[in-house]
Amino acid sequence: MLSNMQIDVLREISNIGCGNAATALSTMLNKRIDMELPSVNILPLAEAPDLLGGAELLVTGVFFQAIDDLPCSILWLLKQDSVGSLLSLLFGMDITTDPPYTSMEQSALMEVGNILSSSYLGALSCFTGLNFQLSVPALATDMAGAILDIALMQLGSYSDQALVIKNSLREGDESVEANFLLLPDPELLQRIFQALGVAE
Amino acid sequence: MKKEIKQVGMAQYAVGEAGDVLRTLGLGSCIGICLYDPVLHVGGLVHIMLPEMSLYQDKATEAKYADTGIRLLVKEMERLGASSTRLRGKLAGGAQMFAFTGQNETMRIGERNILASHKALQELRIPVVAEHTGGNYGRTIEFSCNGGALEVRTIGHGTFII
Repeated sequence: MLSNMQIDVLREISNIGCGNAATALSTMLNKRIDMELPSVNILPLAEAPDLLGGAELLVTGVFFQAIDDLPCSILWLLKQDSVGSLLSLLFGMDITTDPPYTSMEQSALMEVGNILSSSYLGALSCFTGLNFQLSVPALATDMAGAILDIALMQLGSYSDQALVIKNSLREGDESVEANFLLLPDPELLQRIFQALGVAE
Repeated sequence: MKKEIKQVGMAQYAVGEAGDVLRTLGLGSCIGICLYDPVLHVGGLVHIMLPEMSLYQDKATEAKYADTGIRLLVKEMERLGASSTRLRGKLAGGAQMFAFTGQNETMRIGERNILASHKALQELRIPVVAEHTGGNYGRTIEFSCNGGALEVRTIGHGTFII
C-alpha cells in the first residue's frame, strides 16, 4: 500500500509530466493548450474499468513499454469523443469520430501518444536519474475492459492495486480527456520514492 | 427460484443455480472459464488474468490465475452439490489486443492463458465442450445456469452462443 505522502508525490510527478506533455502538444500544434490538474487514483483492479466509464465502453488505447534501467509500461486511454477532438485538433478540421480509424488517423494518434509519453517520462527521468527508452507504440480500439487487461495484467502480477491518472487538455472548444496509466514495476516505484525522500 | 444476474469482475468468481446468469464484461487477454453441472444446474464463472500462480509474486488472489482459479471454482461449486465428475467447461477470451513487432512473453499472455486453462481443466478431468478464444478483440460473456449456454458479445465481430 502507498502512503498519502507517496500518493502526493505521484500526483506531483504526474502534474509535471502532464504539464510537459501539454507543452509538447502546444508546441507541435502552435496553439494554446490548457490543462486541468490531473487526478491520481489508486484503486482495486476490479474497479479500474468503472473509472473509465465501464468495461464495455468503446475506447482507444495506445500502449508503450519502456525499457532500459527499469521496466515500466504506459497505456493512454481515450474515449471516442476525445479521439475525435484530438484528431480534429491535429488535422485542423472536423474528423468523423467513428472507428475503425484510417491508418493515417491511427498513426497520428500513436504519434501524439509517443510525444506525450516521452514528455512524461522526461519528468520522471529528471527526478530519478533513470533512463527510459520507449518501445514502438501499439494501438487498439475496443472495449475498455479488454484494453485494460494488458495494463492490469502487468500490475496484477505483483499487486491488486492500479494507478490511474486522469489528465484533461483543452484547446478552445476541443477537450481531450486522456487517461494515463503508468505501470512501473515495484522496484521503480521504490526508486522514485527514494529519489524524492519519501521511501518507507 | 429468484433469478439473479451476478457480475464477475477481474480476478473474481461467482457460482449460481438454475435461473442465475453469470456475467463478465470486457475480456481481453483474460479468460472467462465457465463450468457447469448439467444434472444439478449449478454453474460457475471465474475471470482469470494470468496463467499460473507459481510464476507470480502475488499468492493472495487465487481467482487471478487459471490453475488456482479453476480449483477454487470447482470447490465452491461442490459446496452447492455439484460433482466434479459431471462438470463441463467452456472458455472465452484470451485475445491479444495489441499487435507488437518482436513479441515477448508478456505480450502473448492471452495465448498462455488459453493453454494454462486447458491444462488445469485437463488435470481435473473436466472436458472443454466449447470455446471462443484468441483473436484481437474484446468479449463480454453471459453464462446461463439454466442449461449452460454461453453468450459471447463483441464490438464489430458479432455475437455468438456456444
